[in-house]
Amino acid sequence: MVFRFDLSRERIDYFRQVGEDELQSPSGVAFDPRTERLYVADAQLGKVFVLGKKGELLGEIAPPEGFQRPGGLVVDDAGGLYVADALGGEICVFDAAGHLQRRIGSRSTSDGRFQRPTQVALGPRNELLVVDALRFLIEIQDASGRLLGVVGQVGDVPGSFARPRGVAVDSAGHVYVADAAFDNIQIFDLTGQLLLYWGGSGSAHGQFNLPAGLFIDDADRVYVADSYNHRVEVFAYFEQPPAPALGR
Amino acid sequence: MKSSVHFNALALWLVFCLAPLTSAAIPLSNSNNQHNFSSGAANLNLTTGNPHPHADSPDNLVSPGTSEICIFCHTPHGAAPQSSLWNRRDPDSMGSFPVYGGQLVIKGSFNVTNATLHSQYNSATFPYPNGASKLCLSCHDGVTAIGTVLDGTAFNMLNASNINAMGDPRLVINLAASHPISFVYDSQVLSDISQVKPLQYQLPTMVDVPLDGQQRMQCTTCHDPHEDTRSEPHGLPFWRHNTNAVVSEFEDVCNDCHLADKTGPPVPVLHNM
Repeated sequence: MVFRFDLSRERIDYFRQVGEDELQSPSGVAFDPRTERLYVADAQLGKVFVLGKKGELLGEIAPPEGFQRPGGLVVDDAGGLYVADALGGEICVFDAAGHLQRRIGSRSTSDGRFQRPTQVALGPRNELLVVDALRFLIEIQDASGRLLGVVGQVGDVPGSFARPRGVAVDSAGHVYVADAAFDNIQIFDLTGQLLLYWGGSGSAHGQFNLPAGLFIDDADRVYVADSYNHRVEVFAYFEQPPAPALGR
Repeated sequence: MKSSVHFNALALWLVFCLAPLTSAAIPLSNSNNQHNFSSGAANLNLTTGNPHPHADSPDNLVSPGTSEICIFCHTPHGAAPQSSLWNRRDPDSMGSFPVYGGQLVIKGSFNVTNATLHSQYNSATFPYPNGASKLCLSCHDGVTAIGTVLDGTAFNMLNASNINAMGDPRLVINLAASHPISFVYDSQVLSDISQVKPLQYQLPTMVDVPLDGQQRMQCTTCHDPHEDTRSEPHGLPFWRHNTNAVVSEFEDVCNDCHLADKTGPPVPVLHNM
Protein backbone atom coordinates (compact mmCIF):
# COMPACT_ATOMS: atom_id res chain seq x y z
CA MET A 1 0.00 0.00 0.00
CA VAL A 2 1.24 3.47 -0.83
CA PHE A 3 -0.01 6.44 1.15
CA ARG A 4 -0.12 9.98 -0.17
CA PHE A 5 -0.24 12.84 2.29
CA ASP A 6 -1.29 16.19 0.86
CA LEU A 7 -0.05 18.44 3.62
CA SER A 8 -1.32 21.69 2.11
CA ARG A 9 -4.87 20.42 1.77
CA GLU A 10 -4.64 18.07 4.77
CA ARG A 11 -5.81 15.11 2.79
CA ILE A 12 -4.67 11.51 2.81
CA ASP A 13 -5.34 8.84 0.27
CA TYR A 14 -3.75 5.56 -0.53
CA PHE A 15 -3.74 2.80 -3.09
CA ARG A 16 -2.75 -0.81 -3.16
CA GLN A 17 -3.93 -1.75 -6.63
CA VAL A 18 -1.65 -0.90 -9.54
CA GLY A 19 -3.11 -1.93 -12.87
CA GLU A 20 -3.76 -5.63 -12.51
CA ASP A 21 -1.25 -6.02 -9.71
CA GLU A 22 -1.93 -5.66 -6.03
CA LEU A 23 1.09 -4.28 -4.26
CA GLN A 24 2.70 -6.93 -2.07
CA SER A 25 5.79 -5.38 -0.56
CA PRO A 26 6.35 -1.83 -1.78
CA SER A 27 10.00 -1.22 -1.06
CA GLY A 28 10.77 2.09 -2.70
CA VAL A 29 9.07 5.22 -4.01
CA ALA A 30 10.44 8.15 -5.97
CA PHE A 31 8.71 11.12 -7.54
CA ASP A 32 9.86 13.03 -10.59
CA PRO A 33 8.44 16.57 -10.28
CA ARG A 34 9.23 17.41 -13.91
CA THR A 35 7.03 14.70 -15.35
CA GLU A 36 4.85 14.29 -12.24
CA ARG A 37 5.51 10.59 -12.36
CA LEU A 38 5.63 8.38 -9.34
CA TYR A 39 7.82 5.31 -9.37
CA VAL A 40 6.98 2.46 -7.00
CA ALA A 41 9.17 -0.60 -6.51
CA ASP A 42 7.67 -3.80 -5.18
CA ALA A 43 10.28 -6.19 -3.84
CA GLN A 44 8.06 -9.22 -3.82
CA LEU A 45 6.55 -8.68 -7.26
CA GLY A 46 10.01 -7.83 -8.59
CA LYS A 47 8.59 -4.85 -10.47
CA VAL A 48 8.97 -1.09 -10.72
CA PHE A 49 5.75 0.68 -11.67
CA VAL A 50 5.36 4.06 -13.33
CA LEU A 51 2.29 5.90 -12.11
CA GLY A 52 0.62 9.11 -13.15
CA LYS A 53 -0.59 11.96 -11.01
CA LYS A 54 -3.84 10.23 -10.15
CA GLY A 55 -2.18 6.94 -9.38
CA GLU A 56 -2.99 5.45 -12.75
CA LEU A 57 -0.57 2.91 -14.16
CA LEU A 58 1.51 4.28 -17.01
CA GLY A 59 3.84 1.35 -17.40
CA GLU A 60 6.60 -0.73 -15.87
CA ILE A 61 10.33 -0.33 -15.95
CA ALA A 62 12.72 -3.25 -15.93
CA PRO A 63 15.99 -4.45 -17.40
CA PRO A 64 15.62 -7.11 -20.11
CA GLU A 65 15.96 -9.97 -17.65
CA GLY A 66 13.74 -8.31 -15.05
CA PHE A 67 14.55 -7.30 -11.50
CA GLN A 68 15.25 -9.85 -8.82
CA ARG A 69 14.37 -7.80 -5.75
CA PRO A 70 14.07 -4.07 -6.41
CA GLY A 71 14.42 -1.88 -3.36
CA GLY A 72 15.32 1.79 -3.09
CA LEU A 73 14.70 4.29 -5.89
CA VAL A 74 15.95 7.80 -6.58
CA VAL A 75 15.44 10.23 -9.48
CA ASP A 76 18.19 12.60 -10.65
CA ASP A 77 17.83 16.10 -12.03
CA ALA A 78 17.61 14.84 -15.60
CA GLY A 79 14.77 12.48 -14.79
CA GLY A 80 17.00 9.43 -14.67
CA LEU A 81 15.78 6.67 -12.38
CA TYR A 82 18.18 4.65 -10.21
CA VAL A 83 16.90 1.29 -9.00
CA ALA A 84 18.73 -0.73 -6.36
CA ASP A 85 18.31 -4.43 -7.10
CA ALA A 86 19.07 -5.96 -3.72
CA LEU A 87 19.47 -9.51 -4.99
CA GLY A 88 20.86 -8.52 -8.35
CA GLY A 89 23.77 -6.82 -6.62
CA GLU A 90 23.68 -3.75 -8.86
CA ILE A 91 22.04 -0.41 -9.53
CA CYS A 92 20.13 -0.08 -12.78
CA VAL A 93 19.82 3.41 -14.29
CA PHE A 94 17.00 4.26 -16.67
CA ASP A 95 16.38 7.41 -18.66
CA ALA A 96 13.16 9.37 -18.40
CA ALA A 97 11.70 7.28 -21.21
CA GLY A 98 12.31 4.12 -19.20
CA HIS A 99 15.19 2.76 -21.26
CA LEU A 100 18.02 1.04 -19.43
CA GLN A 101 21.09 3.25 -19.68
CA ARG A 102 23.64 1.84 -17.29
CA ARG A 103 24.28 -0.85 -14.73
CA ILE A 104 26.35 0.29 -11.78
CA GLY A 105 28.25 -2.19 -9.69
CA SER A 106 30.44 -1.78 -6.66
CA ARG A 107 33.83 -0.11 -7.04
CA SER A 108 35.01 -1.48 -3.73
CA THR A 109 34.67 -5.20 -4.29
CA SER A 110 36.91 -7.29 -6.45
CA ASP A 111 34.13 -8.69 -8.56
CA GLY A 112 32.30 -5.42 -8.95
CA ARG A 113 29.07 -6.52 -7.32
CA PHE A 114 27.31 -5.06 -4.33
CA GLN A 115 26.47 -7.65 -1.75
CA ARG A 116 22.98 -6.42 -0.83
CA PRO A 117 22.28 -2.96 -2.25
CA THR A 118 19.00 -1.98 -0.65
CA GLN A 119 18.74 1.81 -0.84
CA VAL A 120 20.19 4.60 -2.96
CA ALA A 121 20.48 8.37 -2.73
CA LEU A 122 22.09 11.15 -4.74
CA GLY A 123 24.41 13.84 -3.44
CA PRO A 124 24.53 17.51 -4.47
CA ARG A 125 26.91 16.74 -7.36
CA ASN A 126 25.06 13.60 -8.38
CA GLU A 127 27.25 11.45 -6.21
CA LEU A 128 25.63 8.04 -5.93
CA LEU A 129 25.27 6.62 -2.44
CA VAL A 130 24.42 2.94 -2.07
CA VAL A 131 23.52 1.18 1.17
CA ASP A 132 25.26 -2.19 0.89
CA ALA A 133 23.37 -3.71 3.79
CA LEU A 134 25.31 -6.91 4.29
CA ARG A 135 28.63 -5.10 4.07
CA PHE A 136 27.40 -2.59 6.66
CA LEU A 137 28.55 0.45 4.73
CA ILE A 138 27.55 3.15 2.30
CA GLU A 139 29.53 3.21 -0.92
CA ILE A 140 29.85 6.58 -2.62
CA GLN A 141 30.70 7.01 -6.30
CA ASP A 142 30.98 10.26 -8.22
CA ALA A 143 28.83 10.97 -11.26
CA SER A 144 31.38 9.34 -13.53
CA GLY A 145 31.38 6.15 -11.48
CA ARG A 146 34.68 6.71 -9.68
CA LEU A 147 34.86 5.45 -6.11
CA LEU A 148 34.91 8.34 -3.66
CA GLY A 149 34.93 6.16 -0.58
CA VAL A 150 32.77 4.29 1.86
CA VAL A 151 31.00 5.36 5.03
CA GLY A 152 30.91 3.15 8.07
CA GLN A 153 31.71 -0.44 8.89
CA VAL A 154 30.16 -3.15 11.02
CA GLY A 155 30.22 -2.41 14.72
CA ASP A 156 28.28 -1.08 17.68
CA VAL A 157 29.98 2.26 18.17
CA PRO A 158 29.41 5.71 16.67
CA GLY A 159 30.36 5.69 13.02
CA SER A 160 29.50 2.02 12.59
CA PHE A 161 26.39 0.17 11.48
CA ALA A 162 24.58 -2.97 12.55
CA ARG A 163 21.50 -2.77 10.31
CA PRO A 164 21.90 0.18 7.90
CA ARG A 165 18.63 0.92 6.15
CA GLY A 166 17.67 4.28 4.67
CA VAL A 167 20.09 6.87 3.29
CA ALA A 168 19.52 10.48 2.22
CA VAL A 169 21.58 13.62 1.58
CA ASP A 170 20.65 17.18 2.53
CA SER A 171 21.43 20.36 0.61
CA ALA A 172 24.76 20.78 2.38
CA GLY A 173 25.92 17.31 1.41
CA HIS A 174 25.39 15.70 4.79
CA VAL A 175 24.73 11.97 4.60
CA TYR A 176 21.98 10.61 6.86
CA VAL A 177 21.85 6.88 7.56
CA ALA A 178 19.11 5.10 9.53
CA ASP A 179 20.08 2.01 11.50
CA ALA A 180 17.33 -0.42 12.47
CA ALA A 181 19.35 -2.05 15.23
CA PHE A 182 20.49 1.15 16.88
CA ASP A 183 17.16 2.90 16.29
CA ASN A 184 19.11 6.01 15.43
CA ILE A 185 20.21 8.19 12.55
CA GLN A 186 23.84 9.07 12.04
CA ILE A 187 24.99 12.01 9.96
CA PHE A 188 28.28 11.95 8.08
CA ASP A 189 29.99 14.18 5.60
CA LEU A 190 30.79 12.79 2.19
CA THR A 191 34.23 11.73 3.36
CA GLY A 192 32.74 9.45 6.01
CA GLN A 193 33.44 11.68 9.00
CA LEU A 194 30.72 11.30 11.63
CA LEU A 195 29.10 14.63 12.42
CA LEU A 196 26.15 13.88 14.67
CA TYR A 197 23.64 11.25 15.58
CA TRP A 198 20.28 11.22 17.21
CA GLY A 199 17.42 8.90 18.07
CA GLY A 200 17.16 5.95 20.40
CA SER A 201 14.70 3.12 20.94
CA GLY A 202 11.15 4.05 21.82
CA SER A 203 8.04 5.71 20.56
CA ALA A 204 8.45 9.23 21.91
CA HIS A 205 9.12 12.08 19.53
CA GLY A 206 12.61 11.74 18.16
CA GLN A 207 12.83 8.05 18.96
CA PHE A 208 12.53 5.15 16.55
CA ASN A 209 11.45 1.53 16.38
CA LEU A 210 13.15 -0.12 13.40
CA PRO A 211 13.58 2.99 11.23
CA ALA A 212 13.59 2.18 7.53
CA GLY A 213 13.47 4.61 4.62
CA LEU A 214 14.81 8.17 4.68
CA PHE A 215 13.95 11.07 2.42
CA ILE A 216 15.02 14.74 2.43
CA ASP A 217 13.00 17.27 0.46
CA ASP A 218 14.08 20.53 -1.16
CA ALA A 219 13.45 22.43 2.08
CA ASP A 220 15.81 20.08 3.96
CA ARG A 221 13.01 18.40 5.87
CA VAL A 222 14.09 14.90 6.86
CA TYR A 223 11.35 12.25 6.66
CA VAL A 224 11.97 9.02 8.54
CA ALA A 225 9.80 5.95 7.98
CA ASP A 226 9.58 4.75 11.58
CA SER A 227 8.31 1.32 10.68
CA TYR A 228 7.24 -0.36 13.91
CA ASN A 229 5.93 2.87 15.37
CA HIS A 230 3.75 3.01 12.24
CA ARG A 231 4.49 6.63 11.52
CA VAL A 232 6.67 9.00 9.55
CA GLU A 233 8.69 11.37 11.68
CA VAL A 234 9.70 14.69 10.18
CA PHE A 235 12.79 16.65 11.19
CA ALA A 236 14.42 19.69 9.66
CA TYR A 237 18.00 20.67 9.00
CA PHE A 238 18.70 24.34 9.57
CA GLU A 239 21.85 25.76 8.19
CA GLN A 240 23.57 27.87 10.76
CA PRO A 241 23.21 31.52 9.76
CA PRO A 242 26.46 33.43 9.39
CA ALA A 243 27.48 35.29 12.49
CA PRO A 244 26.51 38.95 12.40
CA ALA A 245 29.35 41.28 11.62
CA LEU A 246 30.92 42.88 14.63
CA GLY A 247 30.16 46.57 14.63
CA ARG A 248 31.46 49.36 16.73
CA MET B 1 44.55 -23.76 31.73
CA LYS B 2 45.82 -26.69 29.75
CA SER B 3 43.10 -29.05 30.92
CA SER B 4 40.52 -26.42 30.07
CA VAL B 5 41.83 -26.23 26.54
CA HIS B 6 41.69 -29.99 26.30
CA PHE B 7 38.17 -30.00 27.65
CA ASN B 8 37.05 -27.40 25.14
CA ALA B 9 38.64 -29.29 22.31
CA LEU B 10 36.92 -32.46 23.46
CA ALA B 11 33.60 -30.68 23.71
CA LEU B 12 34.03 -29.29 20.23
CA TRP B 13 34.93 -32.69 18.92
CA LEU B 14 31.85 -34.16 20.55
CA VAL B 15 29.64 -31.50 19.05
CA PHE B 16 30.90 -32.26 15.59
CA CYS B 17 30.55 -35.97 16.14
CA LEU B 18 27.11 -35.87 17.64
CA ALA B 19 25.58 -33.33 15.32
CA PRO B 20 25.05 -35.72 12.39
CA LEU B 21 23.45 -38.25 14.73
CA THR B 22 20.86 -35.91 16.16
CA SER B 23 19.99 -33.84 13.14
CA ALA B 24 20.72 -33.44 9.49
CA ALA B 25 20.17 -29.71 9.77
CA ILE B 26 22.73 -27.59 8.00
CA PRO B 27 24.77 -25.67 10.57
CA LEU B 28 25.66 -22.06 10.15
CA SER B 29 29.24 -22.99 9.46
CA ASN B 30 28.08 -24.76 6.32
CA SER B 31 28.19 -22.58 3.25
CA ASN B 32 24.75 -23.75 2.20
CA ASN B 33 23.09 -22.32 5.29
CA GLN B 34 21.14 -19.32 4.08
CA HIS B 35 22.11 -17.26 7.08
CA ASN B 36 25.76 -17.68 6.14
CA PHE B 37 26.44 -14.60 4.04
CA SER B 38 30.18 -14.83 4.35
CA SER B 39 32.49 -14.68 1.39
CA GLY B 40 33.20 -18.37 1.73
CA ALA B 41 29.57 -19.23 1.18
CA ALA B 42 28.56 -21.33 -1.73
CA ASN B 43 26.57 -20.23 -4.75
CA LEU B 44 28.22 -16.91 -5.20
CA ASN B 45 26.23 -15.99 -8.23
CA LEU B 46 22.69 -16.17 -9.36
CA THR B 47 23.35 -18.64 -12.12
CA THR B 48 23.35 -21.36 -9.50
CA GLY B 49 19.75 -20.67 -8.78
CA ASN B 50 20.38 -19.87 -5.17
CA PRO B 51 18.07 -17.01 -4.26
CA HIS B 52 20.60 -15.59 -1.83
CA PRO B 53 23.74 -14.29 -3.48
CA HIS B 54 26.36 -14.16 -0.85
CA ALA B 55 29.44 -12.09 -0.35
CA ASP B 56 31.22 -11.15 -3.46
CA SER B 57 34.60 -12.71 -2.90
CA PRO B 58 37.03 -13.76 -0.20
CA ASP B 59 39.22 -10.78 -0.88
CA ASN B 60 36.54 -8.18 -0.50
CA LEU B 61 38.53 -5.01 -0.86
CA VAL B 62 36.79 -2.79 1.59
CA SER B 63 35.02 -5.11 3.96
CA PRO B 64 37.24 -8.05 4.70
CA GLY B 65 34.96 -8.80 7.63
CA THR B 66 32.58 -10.50 5.27
CA SER B 67 34.68 -13.63 5.54
CA GLU B 68 33.20 -13.94 9.02
CA ILE B 69 29.93 -15.77 9.42
CA CYS B 70 28.60 -14.37 12.69
CA ILE B 71 28.64 -10.64 12.01
CA PHE B 72 25.46 -10.55 9.98
CA CYS B 73 23.41 -11.12 13.12
CA HIS B 74 25.86 -10.68 15.97
CA THR B 75 27.36 -7.25 15.55
CA PRO B 76 30.94 -7.21 16.81
CA HIS B 77 31.93 -4.58 19.28
CA GLY B 78 33.46 -1.75 17.34
CA ALA B 79 36.99 -0.99 18.40
CA ALA B 80 37.30 2.39 16.76
CA PRO B 81 34.38 4.65 17.53
CA GLN B 82 34.30 7.95 15.73
CA SER B 83 33.87 11.13 17.63
CA SER B 84 31.15 13.27 16.26
CA LEU B 85 32.38 16.55 14.87
CA TRP B 86 30.20 19.03 16.59
CA ASN B 87 30.71 21.67 19.16
CA ARG B 88 28.79 20.03 21.97
CA ARG B 89 29.24 17.31 24.51
CA ASP B 90 28.88 13.77 23.22
CA PRO B 91 25.24 13.34 22.35
CA ASP B 92 24.64 10.40 24.67
CA SER B 93 21.07 11.38 25.21
CA MET B 94 20.41 11.88 21.53
CA GLY B 95 21.25 8.51 20.12
CA SER B 96 22.06 5.00 21.02
CA PHE B 97 24.06 2.02 19.91
CA PRO B 98 22.22 -0.56 21.95
CA VAL B 99 22.87 -3.87 20.31
CA TYR B 100 23.98 -5.34 23.59
CA GLY B 101 22.22 -2.94 25.90
CA GLY B 102 18.79 -1.54 26.42
CA GLN B 103 15.86 -2.99 24.64
CA LEU B 104 17.71 -5.32 22.36
CA VAL B 105 19.22 -7.38 25.12
CA ILE B 106 17.54 -10.73 25.06
CA LYS B 107 17.74 -11.33 28.79
CA GLY B 108 17.12 -8.90 31.57
CA SER B 109 16.36 -5.91 29.45
CA PHE B 110 13.52 -4.59 31.56
CA ASN B 111 11.04 -5.73 34.12
CA VAL B 112 7.68 -6.76 32.82
CA THR B 113 4.92 -6.15 35.27
CA ASN B 114 1.54 -7.72 35.19
CA ALA B 115 -0.03 -4.38 34.48
CA THR B 116 1.70 -4.22 31.13
CA LEU B 117 0.63 -7.64 29.96
CA HIS B 118 -2.71 -6.71 28.50
CA SER B 119 -1.61 -3.64 26.66
CA GLN B 120 1.66 -4.75 25.17
CA TYR B 121 0.82 -4.14 21.56
CA ASN B 122 -0.64 -0.71 22.07
CA SER B 123 1.44 0.62 24.91
CA ALA B 124 3.47 3.70 24.22
CA THR B 125 6.24 2.38 26.39
CA PHE B 126 6.32 -1.34 25.72
CA PRO B 127 8.64 -2.00 22.81
CA TYR B 128 7.29 -4.21 20.08
CA PRO B 129 8.94 -6.15 18.65
CA ASN B 130 11.51 -6.79 21.32
CA GLY B 131 14.29 -9.19 22.22
CA ALA B 132 15.66 -11.50 19.59
CA SER B 133 12.67 -10.93 17.31
CA LYS B 134 13.75 -7.38 16.72
CA LEU B 135 17.08 -8.61 15.42
CA CYS B 136 15.29 -10.97 13.04
CA LEU B 137 12.95 -8.30 11.77
CA SER B 138 15.72 -5.76 11.33
CA CYS B 139 16.88 -7.82 8.37
CA HIS B 140 13.65 -9.55 7.36
CA ASP B 141 12.12 -6.37 6.02
CA GLY B 142 11.31 -7.73 2.59
CA VAL B 143 14.31 -6.11 0.94
CA THR B 144 17.46 -6.99 2.84
CA ALA B 145 16.06 -10.45 3.48
CA ILE B 146 12.89 -12.23 2.58
CA GLY B 147 9.56 -10.86 3.60
CA THR B 148 7.58 -13.88 2.51
CA VAL B 149 6.87 -17.31 3.87
CA LEU B 150 6.19 -20.66 2.28
CA ASP B 151 2.92 -19.79 0.64
CA GLY B 152 4.20 -16.49 -0.65
CA THR B 153 2.19 -14.39 1.73
CA ALA B 154 3.92 -11.18 2.61
CA PHE B 155 4.76 -10.70 6.22
CA ASN B 156 6.37 -7.34 5.99
CA MET B 157 5.38 -5.15 8.85
CA LEU B 158 2.93 -3.01 6.99
CA ASN B 159 1.23 -5.83 5.20
CA ALA B 160 -1.92 -4.45 3.66
CA SER B 161 -4.06 -7.22 5.09
CA ASN B 162 -3.18 -5.98 8.53
CA ILE B 163 -4.45 -2.52 7.88
CA ASN B 164 -7.96 -1.62 8.67
CA ALA B 165 -10.08 -1.48 5.55
CA MET B 166 -11.38 1.92 6.54
CA GLY B 167 -7.93 3.33 6.10
CA ASP B 168 -7.05 3.31 9.76
CA PRO B 169 -3.31 2.88 9.59
CA ARG B 170 -3.02 1.31 13.03
CA LEU B 171 -1.63 -2.16 12.91
CA VAL B 172 -4.08 -4.89 13.79
CA ILE B 173 -2.75 -8.18 15.09
CA ASN B 174 -5.07 -10.63 13.40
CA LEU B 175 -4.91 -13.77 15.49
CA ALA B 176 -6.77 -15.74 12.87
CA ALA B 177 -4.02 -15.17 10.35
CA SER B 178 -0.87 -14.76 12.33
CA HIS B 179 1.02 -15.78 15.39
CA PRO B 180 2.04 -12.96 17.70
CA ILE B 181 5.58 -12.61 18.99
CA SER B 182 7.35 -10.60 21.65
CA PHE B 183 4.70 -11.22 24.27
CA VAL B 184 5.11 -12.50 27.79
CA TYR B 185 3.72 -15.99 28.27
CA ASP B 186 4.05 -16.95 31.88
CA SER B 187 1.82 -18.53 34.49
CA GLN B 188 0.06 -15.25 35.16
CA VAL B 189 -0.78 -14.77 31.48
CA LEU B 190 -1.84 -18.39 31.20
CA SER B 191 -4.12 -17.91 34.18
CA ASP B 192 -5.65 -14.80 32.60
CA ILE B 193 -6.22 -16.54 29.28
CA SER B 194 -7.63 -19.63 30.91
CA GLN B 195 -10.34 -17.62 32.60
CA VAL B 196 -11.67 -16.82 29.14
CA LYS B 197 -10.63 -19.93 27.26
CA PRO B 198 -10.17 -22.75 29.72
CA LEU B 199 -8.20 -25.85 28.87
CA GLN B 200 -6.90 -24.55 25.57
CA TYR B 201 -3.39 -23.51 26.47
CA GLN B 202 -0.46 -24.56 28.55
CA LEU B 203 3.02 -23.25 29.13
CA PRO B 204 5.58 -24.83 26.81
CA THR B 205 7.30 -27.86 28.24
CA MET B 206 9.75 -28.87 25.54
CA VAL B 207 13.38 -27.88 25.53
CA ASP B 208 12.95 -27.04 21.84
CA VAL B 209 10.24 -24.47 22.56
CA PRO B 210 12.13 -21.97 24.70
CA LEU B 211 10.78 -18.67 25.86
CA ASP B 212 13.40 -15.99 26.30
CA GLY B 213 14.84 -14.79 29.58
CA GLN B 214 11.83 -12.55 30.10
CA GLN B 215 9.39 -15.39 29.51
CA ARG B 216 8.53 -13.91 26.14
CA MET B 217 7.72 -15.81 23.03
CA GLN B 218 9.96 -14.77 20.18
CA CYS B 219 10.82 -15.89 16.67
CA THR B 220 13.51 -17.96 18.32
CA THR B 221 10.95 -19.93 20.31
CA CYS B 222 10.22 -21.95 17.18
CA HIS B 223 13.15 -21.07 14.93
CA ASP B 224 16.89 -21.50 15.36
CA PRO B 225 18.61 -19.30 12.78
CA HIS B 226 21.79 -21.32 13.12
CA GLU B 227 20.37 -24.55 11.78
CA ASP B 228 18.96 -24.68 8.28
CA THR B 229 16.27 -27.36 8.27
CA ARG B 230 14.59 -26.71 4.96
CA SER B 231 15.81 -29.97 3.53
CA GLU B 232 14.31 -31.96 6.38
CA PRO B 233 11.16 -34.01 5.71
CA HIS B 234 9.00 -31.36 7.36
CA GLY B 235 10.50 -28.67 5.13
CA LEU B 236 10.19 -25.99 7.77
CA PRO B 237 12.82 -23.28 7.68
CA PHE B 238 15.21 -23.15 10.61
CA TRP B 239 12.85 -25.21 12.74
CA ARG B 240 14.25 -25.58 16.23
CA HIS B 241 12.52 -28.85 17.05
CA ASN B 242 14.39 -31.03 14.62
CA THR B 243 15.05 -34.45 16.04
CA ASN B 244 15.24 -36.25 12.72
CA ALA B 245 13.33 -39.04 14.40
CA VAL B 246 9.85 -37.65 14.83
CA VAL B 247 7.55 -37.02 11.90
CA SER B 248 5.29 -34.63 13.78
CA GLU B 249 7.90 -32.01 14.53
CA PHE B 250 5.68 -29.15 13.39
CA GLU B 251 2.57 -30.20 15.29
CA ASP B 252 4.56 -31.04 18.38
CA VAL B 253 5.75 -27.47 18.68
CA CYS B 254 2.26 -26.03 18.22
CA ASN B 255 0.75 -28.49 20.62
CA ASP B 256 3.27 -27.65 23.26
CA CYS B 257 1.24 -24.49 23.95
CA HIS B 258 -2.02 -25.15 22.12
CA LEU B 259 -3.45 -28.17 23.86
CA ALA B 260 -3.78 -31.11 21.57
CA ASP B 261 -7.49 -31.61 22.11
CA LYS B 262 -7.91 -29.13 19.23
CA THR B 263 -10.45 -27.08 21.10
CA GLY B 264 -8.23 -24.05 20.80
CA PRO B 265 -8.06 -21.73 17.85
CA PRO B 266 -6.46 -23.11 14.71
CA VAL B 267 -2.74 -22.74 14.81
CA PRO B 268 -1.75 -20.25 12.14
CA VAL B 269 1.07 -21.17 9.82
CA LEU B 270 1.66 -17.66 8.56
CA HIS B 271 3.75 -14.86 9.93
CA ASN B 272 1.59 -11.84 9.60
CA MET B 273 3.42 -9.54 11.91
